[in-house]
Amino acid sequence: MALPATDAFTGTNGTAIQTYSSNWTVNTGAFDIQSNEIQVNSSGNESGAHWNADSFNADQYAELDKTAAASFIYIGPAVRCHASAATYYGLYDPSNTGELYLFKMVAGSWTQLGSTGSQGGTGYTARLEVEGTTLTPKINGTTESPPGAQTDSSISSGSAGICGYSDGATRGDNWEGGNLGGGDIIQAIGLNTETDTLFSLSPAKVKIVGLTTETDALLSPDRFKSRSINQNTETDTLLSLASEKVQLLGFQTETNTPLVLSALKLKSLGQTSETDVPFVLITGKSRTLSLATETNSLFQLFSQKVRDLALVTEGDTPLAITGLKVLPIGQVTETDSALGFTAEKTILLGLQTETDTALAFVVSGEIIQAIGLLTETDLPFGLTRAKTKSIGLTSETDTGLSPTRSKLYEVGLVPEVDSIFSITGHKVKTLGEVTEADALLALASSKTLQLSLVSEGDTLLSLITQKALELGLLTETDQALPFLLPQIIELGLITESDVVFALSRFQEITGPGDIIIIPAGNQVYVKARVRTAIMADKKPIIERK
Amino acid sequence: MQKLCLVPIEVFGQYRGPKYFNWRFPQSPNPILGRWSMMDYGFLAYGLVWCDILQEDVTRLEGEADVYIFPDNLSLAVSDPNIDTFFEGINLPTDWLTPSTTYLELLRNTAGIFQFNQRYGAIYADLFGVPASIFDNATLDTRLRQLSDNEQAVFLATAESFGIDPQLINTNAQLRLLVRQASNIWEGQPFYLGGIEF
Repeated sequence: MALPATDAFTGTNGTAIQTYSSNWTVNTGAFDIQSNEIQVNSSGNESGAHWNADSFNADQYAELDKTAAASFIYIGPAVRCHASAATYYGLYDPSNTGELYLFKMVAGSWTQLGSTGSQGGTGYTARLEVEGTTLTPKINGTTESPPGAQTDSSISSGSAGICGYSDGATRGDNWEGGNLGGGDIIQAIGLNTETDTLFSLSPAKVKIVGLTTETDALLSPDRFKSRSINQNTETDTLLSLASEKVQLLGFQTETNTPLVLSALKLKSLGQTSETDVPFVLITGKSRTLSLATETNSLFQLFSQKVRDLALVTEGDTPLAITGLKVLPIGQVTETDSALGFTAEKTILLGLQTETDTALAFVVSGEIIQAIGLLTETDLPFGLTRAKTKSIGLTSETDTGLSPTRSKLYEVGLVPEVDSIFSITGHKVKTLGEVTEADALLALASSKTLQLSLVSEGDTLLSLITQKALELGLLTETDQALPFLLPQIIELGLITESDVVFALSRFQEITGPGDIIIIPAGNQVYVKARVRTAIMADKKPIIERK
Repeated sequence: MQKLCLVPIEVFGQYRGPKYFNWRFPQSPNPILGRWSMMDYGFLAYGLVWCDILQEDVTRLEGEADVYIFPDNLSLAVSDPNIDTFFEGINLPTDWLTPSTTYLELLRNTAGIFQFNQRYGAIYADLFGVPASIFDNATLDTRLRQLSDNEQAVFLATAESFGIDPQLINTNAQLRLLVRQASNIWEGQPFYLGGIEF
């Protein structure tokens, strides 16, 4: 029966409550029907009975109209009544004292929890609520305080009922018992009304936001019914476990027959229909958005077919295992014949036709064409040869080169005719220099040319001769110097007009560390330091002007 | 004036009510009239009583050795030198008190322990047909494992009914610790007595 439960006690006088209605169970004492009301009927004893036709939540209430009163005869509502024992919470008044007793019975032990002098007699409705561990007595809908709300943890569950004391003409009527709160109805946001009757644990009923009505019959545990937003009706019959039905947003009807486990059917957004016949597991089929028809016949395991957006037709014949064909966007036709294992062909965007013939393995021919280049005919060349052409160059005819030779071209230089030179000959030319005729150089001869020098006639130099020309000096004609007389000219001295030396105005050069003065022409001298011992018979190389 | 106090529960047959007060079957001479509510210590014969009574009745209660009256200002720190003797004497542990513990904390702790013993008594009665208290055969210093098998089972069932995992309860612990910890169940939750929340 549905809660709240009610009883008006309409029956034959003297009928015991449990006889009058099997919905009642007596916990202790006795009640009977009198004048179509309920009356306590156990002299000198506590009485209690509960409604057994419904299951009550722990949070519950009971109420009873007090219709007749006799001294020291009590009757009132009870909550959390035990199934059989004299255990419950009760609220009643003795009628003659003007008090109202809030009490608990635990296994027949009665404990008064509070009292008030504000109520007694008849013509009121006593109600007792219990929520969690809080008892709240009410008279005519108003909390009676004291006793007021009261915390008590003795009894945690039970049924709504009635309670009383002794016997006599104290009666109640219009009993009602029910649950506090809204029960177990869960309503999702946006739903309208849902009438939720008591349901057992296993049937679950879920309504998705935005849907209207759903009639949900008892569902077996393994049945699931899913409806997506904005779809119309779907009649969901029993589905076998392996049969899955998926409807995507925006699609209309799909007739779904049982599918074998391995058959998968995919419909992408925007497509109309697709007839899907069973296909074997290893056949994968992908269709991209906006493509038109494609007839897909059975093809082999390793045959892969990729079609990119906006391509038109392609006649695809079975390809050998190593044949890979890639067509970028914008290209037209390509006829692809069987290719050898190592031959790879790459055509970049914007290029036109290329005829690619079979290349032998040892050739390892790699053709790299940069954007904007025209045709190049590539002949077989040796293994170690690499050819690189930079952007902007026109053409180059490249003949066979020896393995150790390398040639570097920098942007902006004009052609250079490079003849064979020895292994140790390095030539470095800096940007902005003019031409130099470079003859064979001895092994230890190195030459450094600084920027802005004009020209130099460079003849053969002996082994230990080093020449350093600093910036700003003028021309120097450099001739062979004695073996033991190297000189180093130090930089930065300016003119000296009067040079006075030790040793009777001549300079005797004796060895390393000596300072000497060297005329640089036109009364200009520079100072130098001797680094190597000078032969004794040498005369001073400097004399005062 | 309104007071909160600990008073004995007197028994008349199957009936129980606060001593000195006018209840259904008062046993004390000249019971105190006035409104009251009681939270019992389960089937242990003490109760926490809220009452609205005259000053002379307060004075009377103050003169009763078996009554403890809480101060009006519950936010004060507990400073009663007799607190240990009185509370421990009725199986309410006080070893947890610190100099900063307030009377309100003491009151809530007391109420929590009362609730636990109430549930214990009802479960025991449901299983064995007779009411019982945790301390029927024990003191605060008794260890849980020293209770009878039935008492231990009811104790653990009581804890479980309040959402405590009984496996987390150390049966070697003294009851003073366990009931004190059990009172923590009500931490953050209100108690009601006489319609007043505390």
